[in-house]
Amino acid sequence: MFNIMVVDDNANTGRLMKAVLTRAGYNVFVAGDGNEALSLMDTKHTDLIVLDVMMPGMDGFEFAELLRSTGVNIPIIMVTAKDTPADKRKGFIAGTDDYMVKPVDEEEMLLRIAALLRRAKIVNEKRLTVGSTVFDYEALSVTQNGLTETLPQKEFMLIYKLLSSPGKIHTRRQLMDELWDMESETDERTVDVHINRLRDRFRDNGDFSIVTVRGLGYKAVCGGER
Amino acid sequence: MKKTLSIRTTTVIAVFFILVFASALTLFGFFALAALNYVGISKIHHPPYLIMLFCVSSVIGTLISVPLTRYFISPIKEIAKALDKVKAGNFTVRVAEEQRSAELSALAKGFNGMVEELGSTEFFRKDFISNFSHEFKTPIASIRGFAKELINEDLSKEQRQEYLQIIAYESERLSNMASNVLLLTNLEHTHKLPAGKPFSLDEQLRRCILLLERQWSYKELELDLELEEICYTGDEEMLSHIWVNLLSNGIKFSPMGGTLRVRLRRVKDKVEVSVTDMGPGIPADKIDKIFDRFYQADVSHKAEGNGLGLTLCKRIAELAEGSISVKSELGKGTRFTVSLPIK
Repeated sequence: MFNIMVVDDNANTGRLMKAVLTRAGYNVFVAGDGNEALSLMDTKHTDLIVLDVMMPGMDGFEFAELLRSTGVNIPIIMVTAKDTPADKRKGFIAGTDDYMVKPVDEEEMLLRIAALLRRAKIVNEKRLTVGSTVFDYEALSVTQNGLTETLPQKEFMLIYKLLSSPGKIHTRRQLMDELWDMESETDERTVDVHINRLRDRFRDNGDFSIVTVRGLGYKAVCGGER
Repeated sequence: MKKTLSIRTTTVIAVFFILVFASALTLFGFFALAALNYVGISKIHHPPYLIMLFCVSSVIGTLISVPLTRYFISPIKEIAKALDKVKAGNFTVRVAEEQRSAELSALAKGFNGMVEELGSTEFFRKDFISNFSHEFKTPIASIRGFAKELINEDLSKEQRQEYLQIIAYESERLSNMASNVLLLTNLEHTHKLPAGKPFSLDEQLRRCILLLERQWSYKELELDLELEEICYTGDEEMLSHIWVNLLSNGIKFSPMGGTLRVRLRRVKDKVEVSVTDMGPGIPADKIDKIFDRFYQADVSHKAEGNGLGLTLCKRIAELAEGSISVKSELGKGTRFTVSLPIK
């Protein structure tokens, strides 16, 4: 059972968030401003924060900066009416993990929260389990059928990223930008080459597979799904 | 066509003639008086006479210039009067563009253009506000009405569910409409998009498609994509609104399991993006109106949209110095093509 803290100065918004999140199976508590949020965090374990930006006193950006500067890495999703690219940039620089513009589609928000929690879990535990296959982030190794082998770094990062968000389609450019640090020598064909190597390596693994979505990119799917 | 001279040329010529004429008149007067023996010709060498001749010449010259200044000033006065009318809210006033001098012609043309531009914005505003209020009042009336009904205790469970669904639906529509209207209004006052930075247009299209994944995978659509690698310089965010709108529409009108085709290609000095769906198509008599504000051709899908998406697309395309066109066949499908200039 995950604990989610909603920080919003508007009573009705807070009430609505609490209702939606509780129905989705989370344990929710609401703070009306940054200071109240900080005191709540002292007493309650928080897995994720849904953060409004426009609040009196400490605004959402300041709150996020404060948390990050003290080493708190709890996932934050900003939910705000501020919709310009400049605001989004400011949010991400302040340390938010995701950014949604009000009015939010409740279903989308729940999906994003689930994704953030899953990724946080993977990052925290530094391992990823898919069926009976286990990926170890520190060792860059994968254990399948009782055998452990290490992977070259780029290959490992690639499959780790794809499996962290199973079912999500990534374009070649997205994969390249994240894993290859904009090195000039790589191009999108390199991604294809690595994907093929991974497919070879995990050919007999029934826990997951890498699917090509024509024209768009790649996704990893679990088990026998498509 | 009357050849218009520059004001400067006209002034110089006018001054020249005034001086010549004034001096000529004065000298003529003097010689006439001398011939009639009122004055001795030799007197012309006397300073007092010279001074007097000078004064007479100046006075004559000034008198001649009076009607001449009216020649220059009257068109300016006319424009000033027209400006007053515009200030009072009259956008139909115009001034004659054929003026006596090139500068005044340019001024008149500029003035007429300005008034026309003001007039069109005004029209949009009035028309827009009345459309807008209606489009907003209608769903709000539904929401308010059904909410009040729900306060009653004697409704059946089905009725309750139905009314609540309606409230949820209309609120969703309203909220989408509000976002679109805001964007559209901002763009109304823009004349050109900011210069923008270079970015990958094909990648942008891919990301927009991914953004809508939930919708197209729900409809089990097959995506047929052919995207050339194109680096485009422009306003990335504004363009993304066009793609998301066109893709959304394409998905909305596609049948379950249908195919959505997206093409990006470079054609000489332009890039073309086309989105083709296999939906019901748009009837020929409605196709001209689809870019109008609040216009929705398909009544059955009326509840899902707000009629502003295509208006937004057209406006942004035009601001990017491009254009948008549509081809549709009833029962077969619709294709929207956006054409943008590229260096």
